[in-house]
Amino acid sequence: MAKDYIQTDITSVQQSVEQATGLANAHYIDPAVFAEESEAVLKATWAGLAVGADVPNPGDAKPIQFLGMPLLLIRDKDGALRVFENICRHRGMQLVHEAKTIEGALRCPYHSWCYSTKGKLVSTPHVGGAGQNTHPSIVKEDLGLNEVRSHVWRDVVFINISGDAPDFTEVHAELIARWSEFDGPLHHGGADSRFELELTANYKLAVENYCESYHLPWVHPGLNSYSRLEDHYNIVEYGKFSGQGTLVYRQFKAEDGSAAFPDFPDLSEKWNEGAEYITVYPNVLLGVQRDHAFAIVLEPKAHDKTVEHIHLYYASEDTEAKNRAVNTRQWKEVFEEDIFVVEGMQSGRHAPTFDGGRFSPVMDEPTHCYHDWVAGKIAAHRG
Amino acid sequence: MSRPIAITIGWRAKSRPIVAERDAALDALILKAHARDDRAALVRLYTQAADLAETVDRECFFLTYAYIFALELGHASQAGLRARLVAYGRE
Repeated sequence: MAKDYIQTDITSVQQSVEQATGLANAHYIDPAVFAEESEAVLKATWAGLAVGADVPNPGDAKPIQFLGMPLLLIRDKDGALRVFENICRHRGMQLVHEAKTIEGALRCPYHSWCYSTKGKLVSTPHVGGAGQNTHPSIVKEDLGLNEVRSHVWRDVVFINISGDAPDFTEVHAELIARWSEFDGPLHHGGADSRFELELTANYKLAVENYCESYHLPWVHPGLNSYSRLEDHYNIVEYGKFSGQGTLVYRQFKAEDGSAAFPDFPDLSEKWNEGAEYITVYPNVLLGVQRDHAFAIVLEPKAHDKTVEHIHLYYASEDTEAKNRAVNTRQWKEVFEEDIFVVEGMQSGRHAPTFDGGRFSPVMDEPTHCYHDWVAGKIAAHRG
Repeated sequence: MSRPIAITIGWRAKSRPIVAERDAALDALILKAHARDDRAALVRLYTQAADLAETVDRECFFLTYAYIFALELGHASQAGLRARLVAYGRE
C-alpha cells in the first residue's frame, strides 16, 4: 500500500558521531512521520506510561490516554500493577472515566458487565435475557479485559504495546545492573513531590536536552558555582541508553545545614558525590543521587506537544514536608529553565534547510546515541 | 454515577391494590437511590424487590441488579446473591 508521506532518510543519522546528522525535521513537525515513528519507537519498545504512585492503593484505577489509546492503570486487589485497554469487551465502551478506587468490581456504565481488578470478566447481567446472566456464546473466560504488557522499574510503569519486545529486564539489563545499588525501596514524596510541565515540543527534544551536560553552564548558570561542566561525564551505551553523570553532587541540605533526607542504604563511596541522569529510551528520564531520586515520564500528546510528569522519591517515607517542598521547587526551577530550549528547537525544526544538525563528538554523544537508537528502531520497523 | 433505571415493581396493580401500593413505594425508593447514586441502598432495595417477586423470572431480574451493585461495591451480600442466581441457573 502506498504511504501517504515521504519516508525520511535515516542513514545519515546512523553514521559515527563525527559524521552523523540528527533526525530530519519531519520527525518533529510532520504528524504522518510521528505516526510511523510512534509505531516503531513508542509502541514497539518499552515506553513509560505512568508511575506506581499514581495508583498507590489496591483498587486504585486511573484512566490514561496514550497515543490516542484508552488505557487503564490499576493496582489489583493483591497490590500488583496492571495496564488494560480501558474498554468493555462487550461494545467497546470506555470503562473508567476518572481516577477512582474500585471497591469491588469494575462495572461498565453501559450494560453493567463487571470485571475484577485483575481483568477477569465476572458477570454479564441480562446477557441471555432479563434476569438470565449467562449465554452459551458469551464465554467469560475468553472475554477478560485486554491486558497491555507492562513492567515496573523504579516505580515507573513501562508498557510494550506491540507485545513482542524482548523482556524489559533483558532490554535494560545493563542499566538495571548499573544502578543496582539503588534497588532498595523508593518512597514517593506525595502530592508535594510531583508536578507537570507542558511543552510545545516533540518529546524527543526533551530527551535530547536531558541527555547532555553541554548546555548546563549556559542554560543553568546557577549550577556553575559547584557543578562545573568539567565535573560531568557522558554516559553512552549505543543501542541501549545514554545520559550524563556528575562527580560533585551535593546532598540537599535543610535550613540548619544538616542533610535534609536520609541516604539510600548501602551505597558505595562512588555515590558520595556522584549522581547520574539517564534516559530510559524512548521517553523516561531518571536521576539517582544519594539522598533522593526522580523520574520524568514524557507523555507524547502529539508530534509537537509533550507533558512532563515529574516525580521525586526518597529513601524513607519519613521526610519533612518543608524540605520536600523546597527540593521540589528547586528542581522545578531547573526543569523550567529547559523549556525555552526545547520549545526553541521545536520552532527551529520548521526551518526547511535545517538538516538535523551536527553533533559535538566530545559533548553531544549521548544525544547522538539517542538519535541512532531511534533511527535503528525506525529502520527495523520499515524492514 | 449510575443512571436511574425505570423499574416497575407493581405489575399486579389492578388485581391486588394493597400489594401494588407497597410495590409502588419500593419503586419510588429505588428511583431515589438511583438519583443519589446510593449503591448500597440499591443492593438492599433490589434484594427486597426480589424477595417480593412472585415469579422466578421477576426475582432473578431484581436479584441481578442487587448482585451487580453488590459486586461493584464489594458488598458482603454478593456471595449470597450470586448463590441465589446460580441456584436458578441464571449466573
